Amino acid sequence: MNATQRDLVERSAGGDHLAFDVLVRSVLDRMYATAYRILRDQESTKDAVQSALWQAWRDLPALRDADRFEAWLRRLLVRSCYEEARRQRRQPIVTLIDPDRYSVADSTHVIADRDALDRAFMRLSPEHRIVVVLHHYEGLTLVEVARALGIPVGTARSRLHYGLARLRDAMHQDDLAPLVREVPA
Amino acid sequence: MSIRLDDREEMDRRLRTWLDDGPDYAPHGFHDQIMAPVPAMQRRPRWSRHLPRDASSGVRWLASAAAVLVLVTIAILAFTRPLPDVGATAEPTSDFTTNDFGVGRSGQIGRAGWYRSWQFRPQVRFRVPSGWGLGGLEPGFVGVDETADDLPITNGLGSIQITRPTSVDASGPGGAQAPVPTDVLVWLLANPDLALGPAAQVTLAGRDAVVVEGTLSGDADLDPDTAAIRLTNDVILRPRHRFRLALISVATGELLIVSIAPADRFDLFRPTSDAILASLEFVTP
Repeated sequence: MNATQRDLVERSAGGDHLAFDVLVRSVLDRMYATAYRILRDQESTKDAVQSALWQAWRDLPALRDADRFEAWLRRLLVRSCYEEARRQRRQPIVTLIDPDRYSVADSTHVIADRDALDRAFMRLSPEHRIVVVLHHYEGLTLVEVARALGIPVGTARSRLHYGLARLRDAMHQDDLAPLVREVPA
Repeated sequence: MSIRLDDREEMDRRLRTWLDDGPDYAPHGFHDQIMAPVPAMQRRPRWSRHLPRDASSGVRWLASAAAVLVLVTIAILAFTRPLPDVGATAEPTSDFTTNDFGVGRSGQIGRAGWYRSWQFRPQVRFRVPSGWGLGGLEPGFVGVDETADDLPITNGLGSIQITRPTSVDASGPGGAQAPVPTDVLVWLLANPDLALGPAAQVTLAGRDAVVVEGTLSGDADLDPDTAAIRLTNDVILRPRHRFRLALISVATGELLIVSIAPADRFDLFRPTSDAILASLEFVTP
C-alpha cells in the first residue's frame, strides 16, 4: 500500500467522508468485477458490494493496521458474497430467454461453454465458487486464498480442485444447452 | 471422467475465457448509491482497535483495559460513548446486542451480560458469562458470524449455534443440498451419519423442545473436502465432536440449537451450555 492510500484509510477511519469517497472509487470496479464473477447476477453483486463497503465504513475505526486494508476489505467482500450466494440458493429460479446475452459473432462453441459453465458454476457451493474466482480471476495464490477465507491451505486446495473438476466436466459433456439464462425470481 | 492432457489445456483456456467474461466496471451511479447513507451511519469507536485480540491473557486484558479507560476518559466528550462494563461480575442494566459482542470480528471474546440477537430472527435473548463471543468452534469460513438464520457463539471450549435450517446437505461431497424435511426429528434419528441417543422432551425458551445427543457414526460419509458432515446449511460436525441437538418449533419453522464441543471436553462444556440455554428467551414470536 502506498502512502496516499494509507493516508486515505487513516482519514476514513477518523471519519473523513471525502477520504472514504476517494477510497471507494479506487476499489469499487475491482470489487464489483470479482463479486459478479462469484454471484453471476447483477442485483446480488450490487447488494454484496454495497453491504461490504458499508460494513467497511462502520468497522474501519477498529482496523488496527491501515496496510491490512485491502486484505481486510477482501474478507468483507467474500463474506457478503457468501451471504448473497446463500440467498440466491433460497430463491426460486425462473428461466428467461436472454437474446442480448450472445452476439451474432459468438461461436456455437463459446455459447455452449458459457451456458454449461454458468450452470455448473451455480451448482457449486459458495465456498467452491469463491475459491475458484479468487485464485483464477483475482490471481491470489492458494496461501493468499486460504488467508482470505480463514481456512487451511489444504482445504483451499481441495476446494479449488473440486470446483475446477466440476467445471471441466461441464465443458467435457457433449450437450449444447438452449440459449437460456436462469435468474433469481 | 478422464480428460486427456491436451484436452485439459484447451479446457483450462476456455475456462479462463469464461472467467474473464463479465463486467470490469461497476454500473453508472452505483458509487453515489453506496456513499449516500454513509455520513449518517453509526460506526465503531476508534478506541476499539486498542483492545487485545487474545482476551484469554488476563494480564494483557487488564493492561489494555486500563489503557482504554484512560483514552476514553480523555476522549469522552468527543465520542459521547461511555466505557462499557467489562467486568464479569457486574450486572448490566440493559441488554447488549450480539453485534456488540466484545470487539470487532467473530471470535472476539466479549463481556458478560444479557444479549439480544442483532440479525437472527426470531429475535432471541440470552445471558452469557464473560469469555463468550460470536463465532463457531471451527475456524470455518471467514466472517460468517450472525445472519438471519444462524447465530453462533463460542467460548473456545465449545459452541452453541442457534439456527433455522434452510437446507440439509445430502450425504456425499459437493454442494448438493436438499430441502429441510417435514419432520426434522425423524430425519435426524434416521440419519445414518449420526449416532444418537434417545430423544427427550424438554422445555426450552418457554416452549416444548426435543433434545438428542450423540456423535457422528463411525462410518459417516464425510465430505472429502472438509472431512466433516454438513448437517444443515450452517451446522458442520466433525468426527471428534460430541453434540446435543435441540429442536423447537416457531412460527417460521423449526429452530435447531446445537451445542458442540470435542467429545473429550463435552462434559466440561455441557454445564456452561446448559446455563446459557436455560436463560434463552424469544423476544419476538
